[in-house]
Amino acid sequence: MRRLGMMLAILCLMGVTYQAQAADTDTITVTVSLESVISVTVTPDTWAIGPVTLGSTSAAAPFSATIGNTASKLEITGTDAAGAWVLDNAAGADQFAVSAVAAPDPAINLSTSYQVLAASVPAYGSRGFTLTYSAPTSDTKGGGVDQGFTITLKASAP
Amino acid sequence: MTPDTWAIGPRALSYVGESGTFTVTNAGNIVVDVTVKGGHGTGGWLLQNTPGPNAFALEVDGLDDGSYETVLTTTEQPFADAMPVSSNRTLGLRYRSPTSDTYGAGVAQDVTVTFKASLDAP
Repeated sequence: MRRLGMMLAILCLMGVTYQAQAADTDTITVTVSLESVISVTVTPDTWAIGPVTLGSTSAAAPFSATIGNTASKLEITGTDAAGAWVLDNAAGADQFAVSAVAAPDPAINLSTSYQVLAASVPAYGSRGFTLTYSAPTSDTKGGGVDQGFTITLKASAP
Repeated sequence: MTPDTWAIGPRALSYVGESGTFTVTNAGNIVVDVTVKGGHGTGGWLLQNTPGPNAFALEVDGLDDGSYETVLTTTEQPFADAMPVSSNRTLGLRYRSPTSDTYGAGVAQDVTVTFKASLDAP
């Protein structure tokens, strides 16, 4: 009788143990990420060089390009001037030049085609760069003629 | 739990999306209570009551009637009381992405929603 009592006690204990383990989990795995947005913002967005003398070179002007939520390559291009000076690799007759440096990437002379300014800028990162202007060595357009031009930066997948 | 995945994919900031229907089944042999909880994103986004900077929200429509009555947290909340053996409950989920982000695009921000069945406590 005592033995039967012990067995019942053990069985009851096993039952309690079984009930204590009667819990279970299952999951839903939600896969999600942020959509890629490639963008670039340049500050400042103007460069007031003012009247220049023939053959002169400006001081290096600092700029900063800020990237969107995706690591990007930065490319840069320029236009010919409004008053017919031509953007070229080096200053010349009615030709001006603009050099761009975004260290540690190599310096480049702007052209009317895109060139790589910075090979890779991390997501949400910024890259500083400088621009230097070289005025034509001679001119046929005259003083006071607007020789403004536009520089465009483009961000794309590296 | 069927299905056991919800592939939202890449989404914009402040996105709101609803899942299809999920089914919870009491596949055991006893009546159970079921709780639900969420987790933080694997890439650093936090689960919060409302979306914010680097924070998303997940809501549960426990009756699958279009009313999201439970906002998930990382602690267990009641989902179903006294589910009979072999019974089913359907539900839907609603995801709200952060309002701003510092981790970048393409970073997996996967989340696990956990359902736990335990002995019904009358």
